[in-house]
Amino acid sequence: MTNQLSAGNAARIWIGAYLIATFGSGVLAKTGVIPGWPGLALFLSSFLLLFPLVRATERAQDACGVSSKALRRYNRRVLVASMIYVVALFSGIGVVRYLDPPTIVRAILALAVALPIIFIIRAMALLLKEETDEYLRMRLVEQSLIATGFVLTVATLYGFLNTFDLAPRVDAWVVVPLWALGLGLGRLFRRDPSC
Amino acid sequence: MLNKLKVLRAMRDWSQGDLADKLDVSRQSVNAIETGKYDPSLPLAFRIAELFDLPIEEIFTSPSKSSN
Repeated sequence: MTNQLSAGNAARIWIGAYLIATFGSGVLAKTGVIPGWPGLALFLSSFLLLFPLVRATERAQDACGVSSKALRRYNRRVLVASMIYVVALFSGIGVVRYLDPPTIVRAILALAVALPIIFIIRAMALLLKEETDEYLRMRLVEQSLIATGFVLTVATLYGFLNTFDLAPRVDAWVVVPLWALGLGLGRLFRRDPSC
Repeated sequence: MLNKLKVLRAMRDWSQGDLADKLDVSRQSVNAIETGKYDPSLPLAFRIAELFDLPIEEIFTSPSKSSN
């Protein structure tokens, strides 16, 4: 039980450290407290915290008895895709902002940024397909349904706020982080009390 | 669905982790089945019965019988 708690707490600490580092360095760069490339480099380097975060999460999953080979493969796939996404996103933003490329190059950049996200969506689908533990798969399906319901509800509400000009338009890609947030909520509602 | 998994496991002095390894499932699965939070599929129920060398109905109680 002590190991479970300590592994779980270590994972929570890494998640907190990652969020603080990413949002903190992002604010420092955006507000000009650390201007230019040093600010951007600090922000980008904060994503390296994803490596210890994933390791700590896997240790917590082991301690909790919910680990599986499929889940480990999923963690690796998402980690690699996330790193590629960060590099593609900031490279794309840099190219568009400073080089003002033609439409075809912008389209290719948009595709390059979207591809790692599509790879993450594929990783989620593969996790459901490859998970051989029927109980873990059932929990995953439940959490995915909660996440999907959350996204559809928020998108419907926000969409009608848009229709009546009560809220600013947002980019369509926000549905992916919103779905991930819903998955987190699903895990919270369907979490095992012993973990 | 009620079951005797915890008793049968204790009789063999197995931990939940030991049973999970023998059934090739996660420890949480064993815990969920033992506490009645999850009813195993028929193939998994057969694997459990074969492991304990008992008929399924001696491990799992039919819901219609347990409600009487």
